[in-house]
Amino acid sequence: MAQSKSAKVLLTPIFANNPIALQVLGICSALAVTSKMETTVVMCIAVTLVTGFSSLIVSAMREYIPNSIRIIVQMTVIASLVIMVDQILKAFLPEIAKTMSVFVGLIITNCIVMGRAEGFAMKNGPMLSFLDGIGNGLGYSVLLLIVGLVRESLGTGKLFGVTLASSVNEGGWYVPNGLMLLPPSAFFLIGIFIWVLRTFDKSQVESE
Amino acid sequence: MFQRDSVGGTFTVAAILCVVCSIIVSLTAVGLRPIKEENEQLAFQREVLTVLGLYDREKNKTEEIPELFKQVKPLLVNIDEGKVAETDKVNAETFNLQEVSANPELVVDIPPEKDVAGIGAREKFTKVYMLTDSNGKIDQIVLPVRGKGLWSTMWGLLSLDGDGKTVRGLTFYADGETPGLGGEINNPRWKAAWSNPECPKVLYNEQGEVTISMFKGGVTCETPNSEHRFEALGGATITTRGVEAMMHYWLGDHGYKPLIKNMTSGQLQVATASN
Repeated sequence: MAQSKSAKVLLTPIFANNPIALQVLGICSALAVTSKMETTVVMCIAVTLVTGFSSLIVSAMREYIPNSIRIIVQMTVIASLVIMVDQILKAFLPEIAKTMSVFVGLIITNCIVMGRAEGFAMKNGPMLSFLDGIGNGLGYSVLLLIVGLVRESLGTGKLFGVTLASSVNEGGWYVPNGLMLLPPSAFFLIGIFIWVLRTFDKSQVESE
Repeated sequence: MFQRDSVGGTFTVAAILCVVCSIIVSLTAVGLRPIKEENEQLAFQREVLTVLGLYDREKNKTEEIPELFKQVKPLLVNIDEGKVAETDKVNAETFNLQEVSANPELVVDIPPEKDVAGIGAREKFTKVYMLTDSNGKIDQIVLPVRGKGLWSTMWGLLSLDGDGKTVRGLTFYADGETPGLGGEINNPRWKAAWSNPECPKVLYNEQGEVTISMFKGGVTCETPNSEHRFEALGGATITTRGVEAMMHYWLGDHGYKPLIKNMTSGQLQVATASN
């Protein structure tokens, strides 16, 4: 049964063409915000929406963007959207915004957002570009959520701040895994995810 | 005919894009500013109330903060002299500690040998927060403190009992220490030790010297000398030293000692200062 183009564009980036696992883009923020699920979820929503809407806007404008300033125009659109997201977060979720500090702003530099704007939105219609942006955002989210799940539960014994295994700092039994609290652990987890993904989907393995 | 790739076309598109984006971003920022400022003020008031023991995150709600804060009496003080500030350089209503402490005209440099907390300069004026009982006697006074940790300056509030030496509470409202290590200064269990009525911490000894110090291996009420000791954080030596140094600076002669002396001798006039 053939998938409609929209469905294909939306769903492919989740596992078959995951931006982090296959294209290896946008890893930086995956390291920084995944120590807690709360910030991970907010980051995922922010990146998904920014990627979707920036692709939508760039695609709608694509006939009018002069070639010589193409990248800067895309950057301006992305930056404006990210600033708006940052302001909204600071106003309505101040505690989480404080924890995430600079990483919301760094969405501007996230290669996935720019990559989709340049690689897809410049050549496709607005609705399709929007779906492509959302799809890639979802692919990014899947990976971040898995990393966040592992890091928060093993690193603090909690999930979303709810204690699963009471840590010794709080008078419990669980000795938190300190490595999970540090950014490099996200690297290891992403590597393991890529490995698992390629075991199931051999087509993702590059030929020698 | 609009030529997209011509020089004129390029400038036109760039100009329109800049104007539209600027307007949208500015509108968002300006429109949300009142909410953000209110959030910041509420957050700080919550910290003051928490360290005074009037607010518990588990039990109280954000909506209760304005009402609860009415019991607190803010006071603008001159730190060097240890009394109510008489100056037009700062205004009690618009006082912002972060701004004032960064303003070269409103700070005094700390001599290097006294600057154990590593903060370089100290503001001349600050806002303290007092809780008085029905007779006007000071029950607690909240003093803003800060000191250098491992990665960042830790900004905190110390609640001192009206007797001028017993700690009623300590909290940090801003820090950039490593979560799980130095970040444990925000751990409720560690913080609770500073406000335990069964064995409170005492900051000065009989001779009036600052004696609070870190102790490795955990501090309970049964630990000898527990009132002068606080638990050193595992894996966070520099942060813990920073906390100790912070206490020694701010409770010393270059810090709040003059103010505390005046408070305990009854010379601190609780003039009405607006929030």
